[in-house]
Amino acid sequence: MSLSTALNIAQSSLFNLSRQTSVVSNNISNAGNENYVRRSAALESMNPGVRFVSVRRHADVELFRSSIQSSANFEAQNTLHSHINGLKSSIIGANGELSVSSHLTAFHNALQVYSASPSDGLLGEAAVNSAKDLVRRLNDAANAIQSTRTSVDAEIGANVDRLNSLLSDFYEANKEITKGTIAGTDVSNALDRRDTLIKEISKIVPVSTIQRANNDLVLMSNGATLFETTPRDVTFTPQTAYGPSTVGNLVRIDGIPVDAGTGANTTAKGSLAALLQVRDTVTVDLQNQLDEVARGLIDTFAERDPSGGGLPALAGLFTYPGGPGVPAAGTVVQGLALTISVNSLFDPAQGGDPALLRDGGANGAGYIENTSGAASFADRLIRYNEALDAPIAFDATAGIGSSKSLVAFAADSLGWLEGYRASANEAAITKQALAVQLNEALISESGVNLDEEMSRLLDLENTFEASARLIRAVDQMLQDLLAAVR
Amino acid sequence: MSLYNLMRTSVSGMNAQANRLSTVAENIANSDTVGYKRKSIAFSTLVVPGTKAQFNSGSVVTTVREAVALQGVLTYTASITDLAIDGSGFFVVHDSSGSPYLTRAGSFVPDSEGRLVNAAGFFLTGYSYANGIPSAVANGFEGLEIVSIDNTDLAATPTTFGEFVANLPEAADIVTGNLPSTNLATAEYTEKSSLVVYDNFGGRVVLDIYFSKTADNTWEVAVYDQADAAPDTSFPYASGPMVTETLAFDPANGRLDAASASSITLNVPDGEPVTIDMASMTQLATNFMVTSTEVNGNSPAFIQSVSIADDGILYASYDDGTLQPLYRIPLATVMSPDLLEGHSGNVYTQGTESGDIQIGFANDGDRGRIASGALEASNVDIADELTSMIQSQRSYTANSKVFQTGSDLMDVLVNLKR
Repeated sequence: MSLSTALNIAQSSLFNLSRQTSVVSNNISNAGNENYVRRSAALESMNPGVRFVSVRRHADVELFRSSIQSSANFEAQNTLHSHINGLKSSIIGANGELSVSSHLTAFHNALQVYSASPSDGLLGEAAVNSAKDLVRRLNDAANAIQSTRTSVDAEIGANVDRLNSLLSDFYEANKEITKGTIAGTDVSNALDRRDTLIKEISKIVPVSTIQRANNDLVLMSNGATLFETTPRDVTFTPQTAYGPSTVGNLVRIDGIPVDAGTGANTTAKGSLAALLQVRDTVTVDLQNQLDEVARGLIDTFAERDPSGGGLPALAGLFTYPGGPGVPAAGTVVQGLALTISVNSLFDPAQGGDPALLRDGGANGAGYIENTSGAASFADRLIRYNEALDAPIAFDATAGIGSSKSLVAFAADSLGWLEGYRASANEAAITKQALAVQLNEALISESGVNLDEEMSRLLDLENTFEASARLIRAVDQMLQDLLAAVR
Repeated sequence: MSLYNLMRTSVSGMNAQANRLSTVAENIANSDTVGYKRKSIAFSTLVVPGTKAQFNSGSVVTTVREAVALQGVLTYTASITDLAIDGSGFFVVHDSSGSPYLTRAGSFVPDSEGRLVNAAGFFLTGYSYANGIPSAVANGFEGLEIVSIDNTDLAATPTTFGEFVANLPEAADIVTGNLPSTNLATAEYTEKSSLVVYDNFGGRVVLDIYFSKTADNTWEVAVYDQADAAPDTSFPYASGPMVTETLAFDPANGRLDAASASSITLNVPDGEPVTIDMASMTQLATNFMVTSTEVNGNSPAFIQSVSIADDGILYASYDDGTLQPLYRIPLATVMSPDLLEGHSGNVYTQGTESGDIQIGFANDGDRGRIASGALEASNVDIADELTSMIQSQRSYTANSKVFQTGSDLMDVLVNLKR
């Protein structure tokens, strides 16, 4: 080995050291960045000397996969939970003060008080006013449900737009990576960016990846292709407004519809499936329950022929635009909660007479039960009170049983939403814990450890000094030689 | 006669040392020239006949030696087109008039026409891939052309081959309605995927691939052009299926039955027939899962950068991420590299004693590998040169002393007569 070779090796060592130091300094500057994956510089020994080969990126593929899966689960659960919470506060209120059930109980009480002293017109007025409160509450709750559906639908639209834009960003990042991999350049930054995009996408829809040649990735979502060479279209047409019978449009990924999640501890992965669940399942069930309460009220307070004759049952205190006929028993009538009202003939504010509640006859003389006109006639009121507590048939599609009393049904509806919210909340806490834990494991596995970087920097510093000293030594030797030439 | 002989001998010694000093001067001057090979002087005696009684001093003759075969140290640079040979081969280069030379000076850069030219103005040559995979002409320079990377070149390649590997869910329900192959609005399918292929102009064509279970272990594959799809529902497509095929699975292991079709062939509109290999498809009791998809071909793209592999193949990478070989750079060898005839610019031609030039590819025999992003430093060692310089200086002085002594003796002789 000659002196010139020694100089050349020392020089290439300095060249490599500067690049290794830049890798370390890049690591240090990204110490707090959770989307950054630690790199290290790989060297290859050559004869003679050392050659800088490449920058290696210490990504943990398996952990990353589990991490994005758990964050998709959590995102779905969290989306579901926050919407159920919103529904709860607008339909039940913080302590149940807004619930249909509590208003039904208030009406029940008012009716009982009235039945105790049926001659007191003021009590009759109070009972009718309480009925009006109940109806207003039903209307408000039904409206709240439909406006929730409208806003969830808009949110689905926003999610789909975001997904499409993330996929087009993904296209750019993926192109840069495949190009860089072929050209042999350092693509670590683009890989970081692509992984960040996968994290973002998996918050909306579940993602699985297939690695192809040159670091090219294919993204699949439950068997539907999201990205393969080019992004696939995710299509959705939002509805501008929702009524009780409006059916939301499907979200399609590459032509395949996205399935909604099921259950309070939702099977949905990603916010999109959770939003579809809120729009198409939870709110629809809730609407059906309210509609059943409304139908139960109309049915229970319908006027029937007191003589047992052939007169049809007709809507009494509670009526609806389809009245005065009574809706078929045991079958949900969509939108009834939205349109139910108190019959104006009973409403003193509209010139009606609350005493009709005691006497009957809103649908004509044939329906008058208190034929004698006695002020103390309470049979009818007492029967109403009993009917509220007696089991009647409900539509099973509302999801809370088919035979129970109206009061119990309303209470169960309240309990159903409360229970749904509680288990959604519980599941959200569990899934969050898992997501946070996996994310932290991922960061500690592939993130930057400052201690490690600092010690590496010290190593580099020592090597640099040694190389510099080597150059000085060779220089000294050559100078001695030159001094010999006279 | 011996005094004159003595003076002539010392003059030849001084000449020889002056010769040696010249090579030292050139070596030191070129100690940083890429691909420079050190020169040295070999001495030999020239004997003048004499008798037993009388010694007639002869003289020294010199021969220039060039250490062409001695490998220089590879130093690494940031330029991909800087090339070095780690072995005993030579690049074949052309001068501006087209005459071939050999060199190891590989500091090439692209000129205005994309030709790779080195510091001495010689152009790198290679075999082109324009007419398929090239092979080397062993004993001549035929077929070699100047390597030229034209960045304005647009290229597209149609797809001819693809591979699609997926698992079809064994437990899926049998499709009882209209199959996708009927192309009716009511068509039902079990699973769907899609794949991008390229037509002759490099345009992207998205294929919708439908899998429908028609009976136990039997699946229908139907492929449509996504461009023909109806909005939202996809069906019915504007034109019928591009291809339909039936895959039969072996109930014993869930793999494709030996008798089943294992690939589909379809004609891409404005493109080549594409064969999609489905031989690795499975039908197991899990979800629909695509595990691998590959297609060849690329969309129109400019050359983004070039890379040179150690076997001498120069690849162009296009801006859509694909890679195509453009040239293969050969390496030449001769039997005796040290006896090649040198010319200005670190280039050599075949010398009378060097043996014939033979051309082959890198990694063949002892030609060595091509290192991209590296240069071969000159094999001169300054310390070596300085020591031989001191030696020559001393020898020259000694020779001059001999001459002076001879001259003094002649003086004495001449002064014998007054």
